Amino acid sequence: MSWTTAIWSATIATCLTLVVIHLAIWYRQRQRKALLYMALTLAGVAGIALVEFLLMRAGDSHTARLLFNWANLWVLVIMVGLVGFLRFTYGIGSPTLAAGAIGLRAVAALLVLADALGRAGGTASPLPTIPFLGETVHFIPAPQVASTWYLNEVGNFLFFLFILHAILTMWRGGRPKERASALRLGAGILFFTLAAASLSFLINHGILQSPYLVSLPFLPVVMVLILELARQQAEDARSKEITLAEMVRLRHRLHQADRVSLLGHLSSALVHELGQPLGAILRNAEAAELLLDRPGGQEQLRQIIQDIRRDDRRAMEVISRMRELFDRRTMERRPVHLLPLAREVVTLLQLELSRKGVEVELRIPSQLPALEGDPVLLQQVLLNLLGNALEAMDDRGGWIRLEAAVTSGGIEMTLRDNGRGVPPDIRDCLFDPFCTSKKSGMGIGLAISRTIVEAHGGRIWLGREAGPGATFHLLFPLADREEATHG
Amino acid sequence: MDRRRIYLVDDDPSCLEATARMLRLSGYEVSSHGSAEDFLCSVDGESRGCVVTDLRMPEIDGLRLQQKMDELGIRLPVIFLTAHGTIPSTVDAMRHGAEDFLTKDVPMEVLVAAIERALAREQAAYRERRELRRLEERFRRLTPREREVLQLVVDGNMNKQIAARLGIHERTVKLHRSTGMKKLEVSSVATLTTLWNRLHGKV
Repeated sequence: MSWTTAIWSATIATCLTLVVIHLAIWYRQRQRKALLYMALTLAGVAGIALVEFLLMRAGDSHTARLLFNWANLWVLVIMVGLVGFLRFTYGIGSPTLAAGAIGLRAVAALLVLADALGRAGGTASPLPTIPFLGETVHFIPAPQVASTWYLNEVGNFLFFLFILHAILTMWRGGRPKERASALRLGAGILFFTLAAASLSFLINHGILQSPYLVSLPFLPVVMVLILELARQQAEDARSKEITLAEMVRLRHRLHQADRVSLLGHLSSALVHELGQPLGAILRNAEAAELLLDRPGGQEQLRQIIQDIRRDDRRAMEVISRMRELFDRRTMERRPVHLLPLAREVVTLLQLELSRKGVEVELRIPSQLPALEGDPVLLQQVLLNLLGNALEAMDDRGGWIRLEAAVTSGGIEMTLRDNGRGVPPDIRDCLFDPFCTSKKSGMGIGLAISRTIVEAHGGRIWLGREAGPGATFHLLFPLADREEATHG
Repeated sequence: MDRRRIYLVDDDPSCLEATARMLRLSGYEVSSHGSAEDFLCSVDGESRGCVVTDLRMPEIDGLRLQQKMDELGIRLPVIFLTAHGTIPSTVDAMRHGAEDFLTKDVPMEVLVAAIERALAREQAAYRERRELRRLEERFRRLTPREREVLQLVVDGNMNKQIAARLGIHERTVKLHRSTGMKKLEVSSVATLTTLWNRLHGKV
């Protein structure tokens, strides 16, 4: 087998294999149109290579003319492929320049075709030969250019402009990573298309006596593009992973926010569910009172008393359902690190914090030993405390400081703020349910917080420090060391 | 007597029953409805009385009910009851002309007082409507010429001016004027003017 046969058939085979691969991937991921255009470009290169190979072996001008028409077609295919590739991979490239380049080359190709058809009946002259890679091949002697050659050259020029413009756009809009891409692509495409075009130009004008060598320079261009495509896909995959992680985090947060608003919903549902039977009981009692003064009301009175009993049971059921709701969740027990926990709570409240201009300072050593408990419930406690502190601030801003340290009693947390402080009249009932100084709210936040803290074997109390602001203390027993390390 | 009828709407059967019981014993005619739809099916523009409705109901809630009544031309006053009132819905209801907005835990006296106020208002509105309808009926009896003449009288013209304006004899004007006023059952120009303005929405 000769060298030319080996090189050109290898090129054609490589290109066709890649065409099949790209088409197969595109078939499964239809939205990635860049793959389709890459396959088109590769098919064009394979076509050119085939034409070149046949030209080397074509003995007469007749066959050569026929092959020229094919070459023109394949160049068009490559151009369309490259334009589409740049468009769908990077969203760059001027459509006007692309249309100009492809249009001019198409017109030139049609003129050449018409010329060939016109001369179809003419005589075929034999083509000269030259030595090439150790064998003798035919070549087309100069001047073998159609009278419309400049159309082709202007088309080529427009195509360079198109590439140049696309690369510059990418460079200008670029982050550093995209700039590197632009450089690689630009250097690759520009150099090799220039090389292919100049080579053809020199041969066409008889300056160089050689067979056509367009496909060989194009092969590296295509390789560069394929590498870019692969790199982009890898990046896509990575960013997809990141968004997935983000979504998981967001969902987690939503879940947390749900729990916070759950209390609000619960209290409103509670009022409604209890309000109905209590309202009915009241009306029935009033009706009974009206009946007392009338003769013969016995039967109706009996009915009323039955109804009152029924509604009373209903109210009790509402209460026991509520209790069930609170009790059903069994408390988790695992090592909880305060710093990340507190950070998450602060993130949850970020919007309100920044709206009011409140700074939260976390003075929690990262080496603080873990305490044992339920992270969600403990977050609820911090959320309540921070929420209260936030509500005690006016709009001029303020600060909240959360400290934690190991003391003789365990892990002690201190939450201090510079808000309005706790009004003296509710200091004593602060942790009892329905004790509140707020206009809205049921006053059960701190009561629930105390329940949670005590369920963790801890204590919560209001500091006696002088104002302004309030200081809350929480004390938790240390987690068992061994369990903590195993958890 | 339909005058003291109360339409009670509540999706909670216990509340409906107990409230109906209490209101009946307080001397009202009560029709109980378990849903807004049920209520809307049993009234029309001629219905009298007042509506006491729960605010929070499935399908059509109290506020929607009020809107539907507006659409259907049912002009009964509405008192809202709620297990817990929220400020936005209160404001909303009041804007649509709710008579009152009460929580379900108010004592009977407060509810009854609200109902009495609503019924009084409805009674006044009904009388006003009936009066207007009677006037319209009388007005319809006028011939076109009589209407023309009376309009000019209301506008402050003398008989002579009217005669000149319409190109008829002054005696004919006098005739039209007296028969017209007889049909409208008025004896003085002052009463005629008041009535005329009322009929033409210029009260």
